[in-house]
Amino acid sequence: MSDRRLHQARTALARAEQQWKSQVSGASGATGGVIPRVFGGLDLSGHISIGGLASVGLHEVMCGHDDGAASLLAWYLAVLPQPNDRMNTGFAQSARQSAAQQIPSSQHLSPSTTAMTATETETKTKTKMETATVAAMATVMPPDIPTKPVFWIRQRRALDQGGFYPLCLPQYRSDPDALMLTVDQQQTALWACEEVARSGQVGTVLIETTDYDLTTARRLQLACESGESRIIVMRPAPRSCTFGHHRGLPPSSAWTRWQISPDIPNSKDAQTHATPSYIDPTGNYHHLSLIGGRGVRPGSWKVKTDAATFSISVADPLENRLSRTTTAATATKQHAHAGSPPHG
Amino acid sequence: MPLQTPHVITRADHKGVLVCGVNAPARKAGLHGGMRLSDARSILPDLPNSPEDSDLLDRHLARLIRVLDRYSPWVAPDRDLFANGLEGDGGVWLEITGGSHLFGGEAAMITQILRDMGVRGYCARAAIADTAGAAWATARYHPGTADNGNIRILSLPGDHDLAAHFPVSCLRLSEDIIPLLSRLGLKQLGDITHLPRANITTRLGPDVLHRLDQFYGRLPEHLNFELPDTPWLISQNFGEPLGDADNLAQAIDGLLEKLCHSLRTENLGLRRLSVRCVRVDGHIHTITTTTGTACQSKAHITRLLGEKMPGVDTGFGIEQVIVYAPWVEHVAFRQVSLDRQQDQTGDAIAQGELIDRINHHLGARDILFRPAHHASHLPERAAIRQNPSTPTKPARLPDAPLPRRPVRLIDPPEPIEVIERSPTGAPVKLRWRKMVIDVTHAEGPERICPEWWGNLENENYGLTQQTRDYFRIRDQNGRLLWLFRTGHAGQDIWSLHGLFAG
Repeated sequence: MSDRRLHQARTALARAEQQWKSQVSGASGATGGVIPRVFGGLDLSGHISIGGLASVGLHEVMCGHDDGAASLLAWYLAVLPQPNDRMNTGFAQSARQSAAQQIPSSQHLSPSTTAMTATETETKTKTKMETATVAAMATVMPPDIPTKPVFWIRQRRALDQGGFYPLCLPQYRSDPDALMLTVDQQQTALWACEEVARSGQVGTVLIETTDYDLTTARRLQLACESGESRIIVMRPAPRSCTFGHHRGLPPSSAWTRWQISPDIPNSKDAQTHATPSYIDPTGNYHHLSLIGGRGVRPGSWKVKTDAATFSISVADPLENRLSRTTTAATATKQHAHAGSPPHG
Repeated sequence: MPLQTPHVITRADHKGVLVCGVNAPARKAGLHGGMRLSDARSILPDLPNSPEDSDLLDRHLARLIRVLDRYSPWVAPDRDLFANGLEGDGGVWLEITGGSHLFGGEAAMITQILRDMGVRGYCARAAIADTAGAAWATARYHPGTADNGNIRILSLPGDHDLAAHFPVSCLRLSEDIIPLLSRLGLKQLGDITHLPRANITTRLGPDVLHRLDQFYGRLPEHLNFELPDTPWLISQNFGEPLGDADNLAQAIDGLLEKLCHSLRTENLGLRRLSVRCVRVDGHIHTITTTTGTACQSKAHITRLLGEKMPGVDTGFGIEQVIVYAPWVEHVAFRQVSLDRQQDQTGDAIAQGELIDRINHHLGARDILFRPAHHASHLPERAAIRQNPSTPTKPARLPDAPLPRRPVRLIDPPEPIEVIERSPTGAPVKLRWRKMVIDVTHAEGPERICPEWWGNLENENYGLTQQTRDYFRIRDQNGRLLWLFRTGHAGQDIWSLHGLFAG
């Protein structure tokens, strides 16, 4: 009897999973392919129903307390390579094969070697892959792809903690060119964002702006699709949701919505976290949260920002594996555990 | 009336004061251009001199060319003489092929030109010859015809004997070849023409033969004619005034098509365009657009203009449309093969047009720029802005490594108040934007001195009030802040300058 109920429950779960998978796949927008692994090998297929980060479309970074880390996150999302780049595909496949051979040794690599894999493999093969191979794969950046520039639009006083300082980028890495626009009015910023995204001349548009409505978000999404570009919006979170609890977030039709907040060193459970008692020259620990989006199951990870490569990677593989094996049944429980940052 | 006493024009050089122009009495006294003023004073002790005004010469030359325009549209100043400026006398070539009969023949034309020059106050000699080189020599060394010493006409097969008696300096040779020729006994033109050509080149260099061939017309000579610039202007009058915005747009479209076509044939692109619409009541409405790169595409210009067209009030009708490109530029070579190069150039053009479209929408305080790196230690001065369409500086200087820099810079720095500080000088508790910040960790200081050329009056180069000591701190919420201390010891001024990402 219990077996039968268990079977029914499993069937219902499988159906729910299937429904979740096909929830947004019919919607337009996933044309540019998805980026299945970000942040140093973190697999997002269990969290986003289209199987990964949509490389074409609108993404949001909610900025609150710490705009510095949010800027780093936005830049990291902006320079993720397109998965359907024709020069990138063959390289990525060979890199994946070499990474598969390196699996035993890759555990010892530091998580700072970021993996920006750009494979278009199916989700099944990814789930069949060894779950422990999350730590590191080879850094997949072909040396001389003529990358399109990044367009950074800043609306004055949208975020009140200064402006982006381009000299913070590491010297010996070929970041794409940056074009920067500083405007006074939100109308101008949104117009320029749409115009640039539609032209297809830039890879990514980064825009710092205040709140906008759903119609605008839809316009931006359509502009992305016609220009095959990506838009990363940095918008201020309401005061009530800056510290962990995400109630009262303004709605949006973005693919994903992220938030990053510092790992507080002197909180009550500082002993459980391996926070160094000095400012780590190699990086700093943060809590990265996936707090919303279309077909998104929320999740939260402890990540380490890397100053040398200006990137974000998952801090510790154990925590990453826990969130990877999250199933539909334990999602809410896991989220209740991981979604709230550990401070009082 | 020219001066009857010696007078020279001088130019101050790093080698001293040089004589660069002499008048006729001074030349008779033995002065020449290029000598020092002190040498000239040793010949003529009370020599008056006046300093050179180079713009004056250019202005006179431009006016002279305008005057000589009436004899022939092809006027070329002798740039060699004006370039070294030491001869004291210039020259102007006129191409009068097929035009002398309008003035009553060649002799009458020379007379008329000389009279014209005399009225304007110039001492001039005029000559007519078959080639430019022969005309140059004839004007200087022809003795003139028997009845009128001013008429110098050299017609070569006939006047061959006359040309043979010209001195060798008529060949416009450089200063070091003429003494060599005279040492060899080659004093006249006739001495050189009989020599075997191969020997001339071997012994004297290629210059002599080149000039000789130009004299006799065996080699062409290209003169820099002063031609008026082509104005990139097209206008169209309408018998029936245009009262409709659509008709007006169509008319402008047609004119732009013509303009772009003629620009394309010259491989030029426009940078600025102004469209004038003249109304029947005389009111002129001008629309101006500027592009970031040289542009030949009509569609792009039409789009840029289209944003400003609603401002045109047609009123009772527009009777004339003038399309004028005051600023055109050469367009770089574009590859037309099926190559990757072509894609990149196409991208560059499309990107330039995108930048134009955005620039046209921006308000007064909005800036579109491409960030670049300037070699300076001050963080706010190291990041500079440059033109987005024509970047000249790299985004990062390869030979200027930087210590860690914040991801967001607060410019200008915001004042903070340090409530408590440690014995080493690092802050422990501070207040920023009315919020109290507890410092959990601090790193520093990183000392950045101001640029010494900024305050030259200060004698103490080591520590001034502008010397900044930077600290990286982590606050109780985990943020990494960048703050610095300036001012005298004991009277510190603290400011917050940026945020790190981690």
